[in-house]
Amino acid sequence: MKKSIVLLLALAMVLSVFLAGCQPKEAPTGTQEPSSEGEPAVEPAATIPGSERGNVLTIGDTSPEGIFNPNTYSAVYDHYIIELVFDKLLNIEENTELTTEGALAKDYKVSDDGLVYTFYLREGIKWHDGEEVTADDLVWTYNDILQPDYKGRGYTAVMQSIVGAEDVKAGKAETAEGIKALDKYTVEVTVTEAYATTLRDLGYLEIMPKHYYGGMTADEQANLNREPLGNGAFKLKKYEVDQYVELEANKDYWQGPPKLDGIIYKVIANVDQLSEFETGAVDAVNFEGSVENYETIKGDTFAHGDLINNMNNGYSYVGFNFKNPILADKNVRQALTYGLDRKGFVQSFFGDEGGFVCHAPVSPVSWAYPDVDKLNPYDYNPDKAAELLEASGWKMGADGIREKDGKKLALKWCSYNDAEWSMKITALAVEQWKKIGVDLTIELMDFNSLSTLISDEGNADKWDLWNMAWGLTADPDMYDVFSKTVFPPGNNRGFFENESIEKLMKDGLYEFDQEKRKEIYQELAIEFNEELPYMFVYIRTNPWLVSKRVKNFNPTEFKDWSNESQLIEIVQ
Amino acid sequence: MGKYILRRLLQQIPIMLGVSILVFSIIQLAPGDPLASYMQNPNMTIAQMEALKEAYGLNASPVQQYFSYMKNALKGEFGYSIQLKQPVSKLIAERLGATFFIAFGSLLISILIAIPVGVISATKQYSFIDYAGTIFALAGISIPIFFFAILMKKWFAIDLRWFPLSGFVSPGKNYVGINMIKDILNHSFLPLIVLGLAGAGSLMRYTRSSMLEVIRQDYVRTARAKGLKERVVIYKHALRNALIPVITLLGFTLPGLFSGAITTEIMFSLPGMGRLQYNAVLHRDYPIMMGTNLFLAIFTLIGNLLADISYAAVDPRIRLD
Repeated sequence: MKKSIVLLLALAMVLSVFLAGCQPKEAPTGTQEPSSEGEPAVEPAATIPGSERGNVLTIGDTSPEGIFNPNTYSAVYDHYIIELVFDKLLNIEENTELTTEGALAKDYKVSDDGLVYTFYLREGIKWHDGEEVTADDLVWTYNDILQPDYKGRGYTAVMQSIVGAEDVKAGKAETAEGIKALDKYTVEVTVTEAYATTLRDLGYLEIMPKHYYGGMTADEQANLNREPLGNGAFKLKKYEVDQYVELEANKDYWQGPPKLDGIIYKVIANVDQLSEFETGAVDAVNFEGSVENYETIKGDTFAHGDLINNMNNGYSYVGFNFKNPILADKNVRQALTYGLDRKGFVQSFFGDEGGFVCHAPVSPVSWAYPDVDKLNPYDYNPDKAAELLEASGWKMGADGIREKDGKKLALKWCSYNDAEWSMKITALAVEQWKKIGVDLTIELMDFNSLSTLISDEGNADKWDLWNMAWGLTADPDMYDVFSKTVFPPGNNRGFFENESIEKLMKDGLYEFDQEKRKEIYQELAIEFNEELPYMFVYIRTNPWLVSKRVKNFNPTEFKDWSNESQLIEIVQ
Repeated sequence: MGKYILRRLLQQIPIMLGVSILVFSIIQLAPGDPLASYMQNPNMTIAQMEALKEAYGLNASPVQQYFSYMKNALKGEFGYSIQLKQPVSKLIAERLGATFFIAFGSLLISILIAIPVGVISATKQYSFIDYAGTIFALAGISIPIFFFAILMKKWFAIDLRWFPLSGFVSPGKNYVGINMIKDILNHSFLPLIVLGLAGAGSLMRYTRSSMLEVIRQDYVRTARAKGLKERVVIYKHALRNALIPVITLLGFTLPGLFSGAITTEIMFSLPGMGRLQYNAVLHRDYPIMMGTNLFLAIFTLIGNLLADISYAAVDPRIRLD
């Protein structure tokens, strides 16, 4: 019988050799270069992996959801594709200021009272099918968001403030009276509230062609999600679900033809982010900023890549439930923050390059971020924590748990188990808070359950702390997160309420003078840092590894790589 | 036989109704909210949330929701995914091909390895081959798929570069015909081997124990006493009987052919049903959860039916009607 095993093995080997030879012959890809076997491929003058793909850029990232519709997408990956296919009404500059540079509007006007916005479109810009971009398209794009069956995320406070928006949402009107096409290239929008963010919300969006998307229900429109028609630098050629998105250059692009012939967005698994780049299968990859990954890319096999290490525009936090009188006490919140070694946690979790301790709900690269000296870093200090707890009357009990008026200092933290950081920080808190006399219980659930739990006012007595993260936009406005008007089911899940902060947030929301806004938001950051509606934990980085054969691939904190994609170039 | 099949098919109707009620209730009872992912947006307002609930029909009572769902389902409309905003039937259909290919291919590999090795192990009990087979089987059962997948990728995709790291097709090549088949085979070789070897273990053990039982039966001894060659005794008389329980097992794997293999799909970036369902559960995407569960329930029922019918084919003692 030994013979049959040998036979079987031989068969398996023959089979594998046969299949290995199965690669389509005319498709030499970077993964199959036999030359680099064995020793690391560091021939300095040699060609950069992936060069055989020519003038096509290949990006490796997470699978898009396939909603390539500017009004209804939700994932950032889908928005990459959307930005390639569609242009915006207004664009933003590096410093987050709005600009008409590279945008569909050539000019805009805001009335003195901040209630009337007029946009003047560039003339002669064509959709990919040859039709002209006109005021009707913009009017339709706004109205689409107001429809009763609209299922996207765009119906923001600003959209709600458009004159007649509520009538459309209630099905009483088809279009809002506050949105008017004055002529073929001019649109006027009238709103009821003069928010400082109105221009941004009305302007920083992609326009959709009415002749393609118009006159159908939301579900019918969704059927076009994978065949987007825009006017941008690239056209979508093929979407293969969970595999790749293929885009080709729009030679008639109004800012001149893109320098690339095409872009391939390849779906890769998280575990492969670096390997795919190493083998040359992708030219750029957005990878997870873990300590190990930063270490790996220092290796010789990554010599053909450059690191772009931006800060991610968002922050992670541990929220306090203000309905619990224990946590409504500022001393306790500060004591808990002093009592947890956030710096040590961030250091061990992200190393030196992958993340930073967060001190306020504002991005450190924003104009709204104050002088860092004005923020309390709450460095790990159990003595200070104990002092603050003593000051609030929490005396150490015989069992090592503090007590006040016969009540134990016991807290329940609801967290989610589908993210590594929340597993680690909860474990750390149990251990470190015990030292300052706090009895912490952890309850783990999946993210969706946690989200549902804390978004229901009726559950407020079931938890004391939770942890999550917020993404930020280019504007620092945080009214919809911390105002007392947005208690659950709104975003203020911890029932945070503070007179002075409430007033500042409102002032910031209605202030049009940029210098004054800057003062307001810097002041707000300092007050948040003092009041601690959340214990701010970390801001991670958003690192990209980009091949040396690619030029002008410049993701920044506020702009994705897909913005100004016509400039991206392949040099080898 | 025809009558039996017809009767069994009619029985499936109330079973399916029961399944749909059960699945719907479980989904509704589970904590979570299909709109929770919308809440992860700092600009989300309460008015916006209300508008979305209305647009998705989530303000209706669960009973109303069930009836309107079933009314549409009977017309063949399984609704639109909340997360992916596409018709559920389309989302399932576009993943079926790859899912079935991977599952069927790896099952085939499992069978090709497991049944011969199982038979040999049984006939040469306690021999070197038996022990080697058992060790391989236990290894296949106990090594976690993700670990095995990482090893295979490290060896064959990164070090040797024989196969691509991940994916099901080469992006942007748009091959057709024979080149497309080659491209898919080249991409799916590693996942097929990983799943095939992992599945072979338990199947081999089943074959072995079933075979061991059969070769001790009287009719096998009779066959030997008649002076038949050992090969004929084993492969004609014994194997046929030994395969009956194995067939039952394979019958149960039919729904598995369409349910996807989540770990393998994630590890190799394959467009399969496993990921679709997993993400649907994470997002509480009710329409996808309902759609995929009903779809798999149908295949489970068909699988059971086919197993019962194939019993009759291999075992003439069984009379179905």
